[in-house]
Amino acid sequence: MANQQPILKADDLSKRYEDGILAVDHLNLNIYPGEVYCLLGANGAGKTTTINLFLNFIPPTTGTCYVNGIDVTRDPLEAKKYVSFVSENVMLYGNFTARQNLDFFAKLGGKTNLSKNDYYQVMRRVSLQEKAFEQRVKNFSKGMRQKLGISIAVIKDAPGILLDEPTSGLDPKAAEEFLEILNELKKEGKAILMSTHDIFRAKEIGDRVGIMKEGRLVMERTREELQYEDLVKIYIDYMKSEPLKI
Amino acid sequence: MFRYMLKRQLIEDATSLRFSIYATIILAGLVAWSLIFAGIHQDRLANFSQNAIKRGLSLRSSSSKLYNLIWVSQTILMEPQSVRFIADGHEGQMPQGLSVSMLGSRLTGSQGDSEASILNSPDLTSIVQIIFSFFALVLTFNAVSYEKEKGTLRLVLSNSVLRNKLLLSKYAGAILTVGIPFVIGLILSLVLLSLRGIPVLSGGYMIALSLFFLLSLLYLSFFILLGLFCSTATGSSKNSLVLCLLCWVFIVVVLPKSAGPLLRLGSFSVPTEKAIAEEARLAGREVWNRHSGEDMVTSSPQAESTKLNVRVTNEATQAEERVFDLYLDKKMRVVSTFMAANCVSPASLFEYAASATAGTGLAHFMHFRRQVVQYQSDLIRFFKDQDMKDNDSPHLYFHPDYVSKKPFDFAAVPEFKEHVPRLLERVKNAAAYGAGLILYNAIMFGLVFISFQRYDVR
Repeated sequence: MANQQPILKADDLSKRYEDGILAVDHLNLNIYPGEVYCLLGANGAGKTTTINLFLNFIPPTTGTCYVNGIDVTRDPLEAKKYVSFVSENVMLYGNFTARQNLDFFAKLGGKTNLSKNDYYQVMRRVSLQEKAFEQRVKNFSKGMRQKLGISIAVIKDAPGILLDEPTSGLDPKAAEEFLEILNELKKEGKAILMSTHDIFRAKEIGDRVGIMKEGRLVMERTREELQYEDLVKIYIDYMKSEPLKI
Repeated sequence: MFRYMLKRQLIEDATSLRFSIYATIILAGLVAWSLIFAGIHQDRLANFSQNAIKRGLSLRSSSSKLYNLIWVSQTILMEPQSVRFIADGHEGQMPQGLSVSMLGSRLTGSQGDSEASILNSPDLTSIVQIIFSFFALVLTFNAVSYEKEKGTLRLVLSNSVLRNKLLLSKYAGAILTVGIPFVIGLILSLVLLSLRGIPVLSGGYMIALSLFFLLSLLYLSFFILLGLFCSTATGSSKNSLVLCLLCWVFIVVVLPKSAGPLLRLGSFSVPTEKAIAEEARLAGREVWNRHSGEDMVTSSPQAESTKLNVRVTNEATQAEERVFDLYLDKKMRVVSTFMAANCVSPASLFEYAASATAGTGLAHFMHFRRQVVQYQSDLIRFFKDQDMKDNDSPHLYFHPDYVSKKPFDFAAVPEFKEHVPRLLERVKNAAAYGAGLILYNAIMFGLVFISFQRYDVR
């Protein structure tokens, strides 16, 4: 991977909010094509802030985010062409059907020539029930909405995918299905950054796992390294350790 | 990209409950107002026709002798215009016409309060001013905040979408959502009015209605932008709703009523008609008093005393008329000052612009008055021309004993025919108010765009 260009890159990234809280502290990350990077950490560790920085929802205090080599702050519109986003609780336009939502977001993502069948295919791929394709989204369960959310990311076909605790609140079966889709996307060469609280799934899906604490990336392990270590123990040890001096 | 966002916005707005309520109220309101107005207008026309007949009879009764014309006072009413369906311009509260004779012109009919209430003149303008503006806010108060609360805003902006374009699509969507049912309602109104025999399908009426529609969109655009601003400036939809309602009450209800008291319009107060008549009488008497020691006995037309008597009589009459004219001018100035002060409110700007474009209200009255004054000159010229034809007349105007006493051709007496102001003149009258509305829109546009650029979408 060293000779490859990272799709998602955080270079000495920091974010201090107006109230003085340092949410991200000199973060360095490189996520390559075909790699899933799982960010673990307690609430307020800076995981979501990192994703928000990649999406240019907030400007960094120092450092730079790159998507496909493009500086997100300098050229956010160009950078966003190469990244998809799935939030913790995918909420779509309730009065629209699943297909209409998919159609709208596909067009926002630059896919303007897709047919109804293309949308159906993508929804089948994420295991959304056929009968839900033309149903209004307002009656969808969380699992169905998450599947539709990932189908939006799939249809955009961006090289980078940002997932903000996507399996939170999903039942085990739905979460498992979700991870299967992620595995497929990974095989397609997508660079995936996923923030999560779920240590077991992080170990299962992640090529690399990082632990954030008080804005800092305090630990990083590869899949190979984790074969010989207990991630749960590592995580708990880091959470129990003294607060960092920031 | 823009058209996809606009299309989505339109579909969402058009399928919402509030849109259904809005469209129902618009259609029902416009149909009801069309039917009500048709009845009112027909009554006004009947009254106007009766007055015209009475005026003709009164003129005819004087046709036996020329000097009788001096004393004929014609009550000339402003012609009821069908454009009052669009903008009444508070004409119901204004003088209904003028009494005119060769000696002068005076107000006639009911004279309303110069501090006109926005609720007292039912017309299309007040429906748009009050009800439509409220709905424009209701449609947009949570346009941005609700998307943030739902989470769709993050999803949309995670794509290559310019915030300005997103905002513009919401704005354009709201304009279309407000505008389309309005157009349908207007067409329905025109059909109903036409079926009731009111001539609304003429080119002039259509132009007036089109201009009114554009002004309405400009006015509603302000409220749409205000709704978007509240939605982006507050943290939640609830706060935005409260702020929107407060703004609406302030702009539509409070502000148009507060300019008058703030300017202490009481100090500009115009006396009652009775008091003005008394003042006029005193002004006339003052002229007579000035000549009290002089010989003004009327004997022969050639006598100097007779000529002086006629001259002083005319002078006293003119002094009396001047008092009436001064008060009428003052009343017009009070109304103009009140209107100028009210221009701080977009609601008043819209009302005045609509009224000026339709050619109703104060501008209509002033135009009418100018025509009446012109008519008075025509009458005097006619009188003098007729009198000059009589070699036996001493030509001492306007003493009844010293002008021609011969019969004259009644058909030749000039008749008053009101001409409505030309379109260009009406547009000119409305230009300043329209510019005010554009300025308000520009300011609000700036505020909304700045606010949304700084909006925290997380």
